[in-house]
Amino acid sequence: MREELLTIRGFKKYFRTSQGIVRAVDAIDFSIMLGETFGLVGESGSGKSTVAYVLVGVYGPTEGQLLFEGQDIGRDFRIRSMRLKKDIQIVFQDPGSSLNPRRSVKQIVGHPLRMHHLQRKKNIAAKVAELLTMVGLPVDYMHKYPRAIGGGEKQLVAIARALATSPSLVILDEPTSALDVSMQAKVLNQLIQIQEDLNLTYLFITHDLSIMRNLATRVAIMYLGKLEEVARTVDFFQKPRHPYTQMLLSSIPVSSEEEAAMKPKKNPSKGEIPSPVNVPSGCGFHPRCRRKIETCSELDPEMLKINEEHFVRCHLYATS
Amino acid sequence: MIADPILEIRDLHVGYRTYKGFLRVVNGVNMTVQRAEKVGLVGEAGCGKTTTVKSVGQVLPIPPGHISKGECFFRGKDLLDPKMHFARRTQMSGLSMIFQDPTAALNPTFTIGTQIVDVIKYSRTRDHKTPNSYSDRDKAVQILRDVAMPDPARIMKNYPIQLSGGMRQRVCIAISLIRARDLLIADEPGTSLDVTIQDQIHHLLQKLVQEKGMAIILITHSLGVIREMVDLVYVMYAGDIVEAAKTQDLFARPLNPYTQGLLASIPKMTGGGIPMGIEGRISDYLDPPGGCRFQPRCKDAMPICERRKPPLVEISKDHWVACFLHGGHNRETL
Repeated sequence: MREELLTIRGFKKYFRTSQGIVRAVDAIDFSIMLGETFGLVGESGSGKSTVAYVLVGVYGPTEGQLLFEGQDIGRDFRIRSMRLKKDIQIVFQDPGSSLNPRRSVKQIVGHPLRMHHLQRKKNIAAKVAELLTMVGLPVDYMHKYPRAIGGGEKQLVAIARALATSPSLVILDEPTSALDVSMQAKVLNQLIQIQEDLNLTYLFITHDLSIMRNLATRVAIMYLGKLEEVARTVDFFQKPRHPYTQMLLSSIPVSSEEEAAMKPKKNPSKGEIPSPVNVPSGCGFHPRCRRKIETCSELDPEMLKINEEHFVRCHLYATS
Repeated sequence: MIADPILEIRDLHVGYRTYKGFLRVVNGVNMTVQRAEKVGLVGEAGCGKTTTVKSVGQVLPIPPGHISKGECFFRGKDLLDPKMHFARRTQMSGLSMIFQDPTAALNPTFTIGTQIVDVIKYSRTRDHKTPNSYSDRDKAVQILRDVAMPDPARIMKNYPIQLSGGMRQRVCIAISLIRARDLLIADEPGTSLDVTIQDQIHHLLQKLVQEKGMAIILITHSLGVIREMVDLVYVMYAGDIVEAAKTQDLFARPLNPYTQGLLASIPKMTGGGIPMGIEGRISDYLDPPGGCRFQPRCKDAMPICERRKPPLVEISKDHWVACFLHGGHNRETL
């Protein structure tokens, strides 16, 4: 077993709103190994971005333990140590709004270097150039402004900024969903290359399962703030257990015959994700589930171990 | 081509007048849609897909938009003929559009019911074929039921903000189906939605189009959606149609290097790593490359590609390609 970089136990994040308490993340447990790409998949509103935001410290958790290299990081950015901020970095979904339009690429990428006192002022330009080369951008982009460069390139700048502090965990919150397929391929390849070179650990959040298949070592499915299934990527795609996973897999539009053949057929999509303010009783997925049994609406299932690395939270597997 | 095309676009040139100069976006598009045919239009972002259909659907903002050349026959009448008064052009419509972002398409200050009823009223005054046997409200409820909306009577009283993205898109589809009899243009109807909801919307569209015997133009950048939804595909790059073929044929035997690149860029569910993608990015419309617009990014580019624009030629039955590599162009004489 490899070393665990991040361990999350009983993590909850609730938000108080005028309509009631929103259970964005409701008691999840998982761990990320050093050097792996952990994929977190879910529909919008499933709470996957909340997980990311708590990890970088946008806000603290309501309850639970978040251990990063054995140290509890469950507090928000105001009282977080600089060292920790340096170690966990994030790349957001929309590079158009995560880059300051009034700063040049050099200023954007150099900012973390200044904040963390990583380089002397005169060396910043050289370091920025090095970072840009690392993400596959020409060095003269340094003097451009975000509006002058394309969407994919902006995302590469955001990646360069995240890498500036040489973090050990990079959280990628849907980094390619705003991009075209050909640009997406370029950004993803760059990410893989960087990971190999720097031995980074990624928490990759996306709703695109076909990216997960090719990038992640392990995949976790999230639904209504809870994890439904966690497995190694190969098992996950070949032997999906949870009805929700099967539904997700069967609804992906695929571009070749071989892919169509491996999709679970009999599970057409039905219904929509309920509001996290008003969570259904029992298993949160039961109103949409095609294989529901009586217990589902009464009792929330426990996480079950199918084998060493395959966990599923479903009553169907309780006895077997 | 077979007789009775519902829509025929001939040599359409559309651009935008900006302070930088004239952006030549759509560069001579030819497209034919037969009655009750499902057609897909696919390409990267910014390749002119939306501009093309907006010109057809009369919703292109002019200015800055400018249709410099071309004809667009819908049921035999030219929609772009300036002599035809705008009201009459829309009146003879029978064509509707669904847009990518349902939130922007619906008015946030009116209830869903009001918005649907308005369209019903408006279309009846012009279109005497709409049955008037029961009230507009009942018809609106019926329409919502057609798009598999749960509890339509309650939804009628709701404002768009109270609905989820999938629901809003269903409302847009419902509204578009009030008038569409012949052609429905769906501009990325599922792109802003989750996969499971996207799947539902696509199935719904497919079912409705089949039932009503309408033709549909589905615009998307996802080849997966194209493969599952349509009969005929047009691949567009930088304002040019670069390949057109029957869906199965296109996926089995893509000929244009751009189509091949696009197909190869998709990560596969069967594994095999992340593909490389196409080098470079879409060209600048202010000063597009001469000849074939894909040539600067093309791995098989030849000297001729810079000089001349390849014509769209029929390679085999119903498989059209615009590329000098195919179609018996004699390389010596080029």
